[in-house]
Amino acid sequence: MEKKGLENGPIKLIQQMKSQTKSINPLTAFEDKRSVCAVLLMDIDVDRDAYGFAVRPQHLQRYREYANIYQEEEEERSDRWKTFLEQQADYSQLPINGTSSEKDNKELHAEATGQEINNGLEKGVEGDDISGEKPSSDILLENVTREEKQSATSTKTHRIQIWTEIRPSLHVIEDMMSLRIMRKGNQSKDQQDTKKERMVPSFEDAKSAKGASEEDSEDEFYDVERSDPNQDASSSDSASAPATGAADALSPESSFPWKEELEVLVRGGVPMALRGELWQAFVGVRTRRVEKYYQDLLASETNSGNHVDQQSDSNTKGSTADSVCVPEKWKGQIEKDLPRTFPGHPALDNDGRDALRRLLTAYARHNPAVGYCQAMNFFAALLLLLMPEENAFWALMGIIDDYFDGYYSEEMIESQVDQLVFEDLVRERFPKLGLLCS
Amino acid sequence: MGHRVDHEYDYLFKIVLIGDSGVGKSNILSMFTRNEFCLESKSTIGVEFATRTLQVDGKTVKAQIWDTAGQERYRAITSAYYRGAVGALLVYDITKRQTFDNVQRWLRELRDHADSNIVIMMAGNKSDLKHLRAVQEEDGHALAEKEGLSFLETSALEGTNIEKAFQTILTEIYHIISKKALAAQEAAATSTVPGQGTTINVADASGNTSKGCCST
Repeated sequence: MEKKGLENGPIKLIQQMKSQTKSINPLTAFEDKRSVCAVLLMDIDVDRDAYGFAVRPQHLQRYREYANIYQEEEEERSDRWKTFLEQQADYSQLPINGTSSEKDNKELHAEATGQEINNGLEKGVEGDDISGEKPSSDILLENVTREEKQSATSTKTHRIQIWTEIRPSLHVIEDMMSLRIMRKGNQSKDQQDTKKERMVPSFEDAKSAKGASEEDSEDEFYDVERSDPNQDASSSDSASAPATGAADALSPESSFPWKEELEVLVRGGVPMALRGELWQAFVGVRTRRVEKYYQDLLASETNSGNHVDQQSDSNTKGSTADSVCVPEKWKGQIEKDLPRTFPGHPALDNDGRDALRRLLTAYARHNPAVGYCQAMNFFAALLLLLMPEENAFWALMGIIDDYFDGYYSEEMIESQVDQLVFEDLVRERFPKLGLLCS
Repeated sequence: MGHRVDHEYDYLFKIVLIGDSGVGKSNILSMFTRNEFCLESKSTIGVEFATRTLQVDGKTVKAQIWDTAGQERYRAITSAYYRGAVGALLVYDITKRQTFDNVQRWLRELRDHADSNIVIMMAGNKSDLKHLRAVQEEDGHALAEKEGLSFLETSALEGTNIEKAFQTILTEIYHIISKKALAAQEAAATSTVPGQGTTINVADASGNTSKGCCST
């Protein structure tokens, strides 16, 4: 609706930035994309950065001046990562270019899930939202291959829903990081067997029906997480703290001799073209994923749809302490924040906002104890800029459930704790400044 | 307007902007401090602040305004920032009845976490959206009178009453403080009175003058 005229620029720009990092890209599937875009490289008016965010006018000139340097640095990074990943591929003899099976997979998922989602999704959406034909949702789909793009017009919803595996060369990293998830799952399984008996069964049924044996542990882990909002803080403390601390010990240098090298690389920055996939690898998206879970979360909208519509206009304020009882109380706040998330960013047009709505809604249903908390909209939108929608869901879940456990719950307890710790640190390290916080 | 080098002011007043999510707090702030209104503003996460220096009764006053997230659960975070505030602008949206009904809850919030002498102005924002009005101006006046608040209807979009709202708060704060200062002088107190702590602290926080903007 707004700023349509800007749409092409930034998207091309993003693709163009990727093309600059072509050297790292071991997937031949990406070759075509970049040759198409590389042409457009120089004549774009750079008023947005590589991620499509508007550069503030006062920074614009500097941004342009430094553009070449940024580009060189990015190429350097890309080369380093490329070398690293190639080494890993040699070690583990992963078929770097063997992606055909994955593509098949993707298309399968799209076929299987696209249709049923439609019903649930379009419900809460205004009429003109659906009609938006703008192709700028491409930005959400940067990992999608060329074939899919060609069939894009007819199967738009399918594309948006798609789940895409990250490139195989990152699997070793993902495997290492996933140890953490597995362990955490097992731990909570052992510790909290009693607790999970009390849990709300809503999505449990759907999940356990589908979950493979490998995924059982994490199922239970997540169920425990959302089983009891009151115990959220304490249980998360006991569950996550040791697991996080033990992560290092868990990945012995012997199994991952390259771990240190990876750390250095991460500190040096992640090249843009790899960022979305690397984040997924680090969060362990593939290990977390339960097939159809995301789609089922969204589909459940049809059941509770009536409550939802009633509530949509009313303020979140109705939501006092009686948190979990009121269904979908987060909806009003999500709707308020959709247009207030990266406003003006070309990717957050109607399609983009629909995706963001689905993502936040699905997360809220996955973890009602948290529901929706402002700030998650920015996490979610950033993830959508970098990966396909369902991937973004699992990444968001990993980030909020694990890394920010307790942060965004109704009490925001961890967030408060962190601020107090920070205040203490300031007092200790910067006493003069600390005096001001008294 | 009113840009000055830091430290060039007589008083520093901390003011908090509170009210339900989406009532227009951030736009009121940007309108007042930068003369900007943005239809597509972003959600405020936690707290943000901006300042503007202006003249109040011939004195140079720096208003340090803290904008807060409106979502209910953020109150635990934002209430920590009420400390030291000498003024509050409590905003509701005249097109959303619920945001007006919640004013009581915000007042309770202030009573629980802010200085008891805090100066409160209630603002019914979005007065430009006349066709969507859900709260009558009289209702606003009635509530304000009952609760002893100042009241204005504002429009950040049109800039209506934004300046006036802040001027009113700041003037009232200034009057209270100068009265206190006078009283303190007359009493010739040997030491500063703790009851005046809030204001003193704020002035301290500026790193400008030491104690006593109001006690000397």
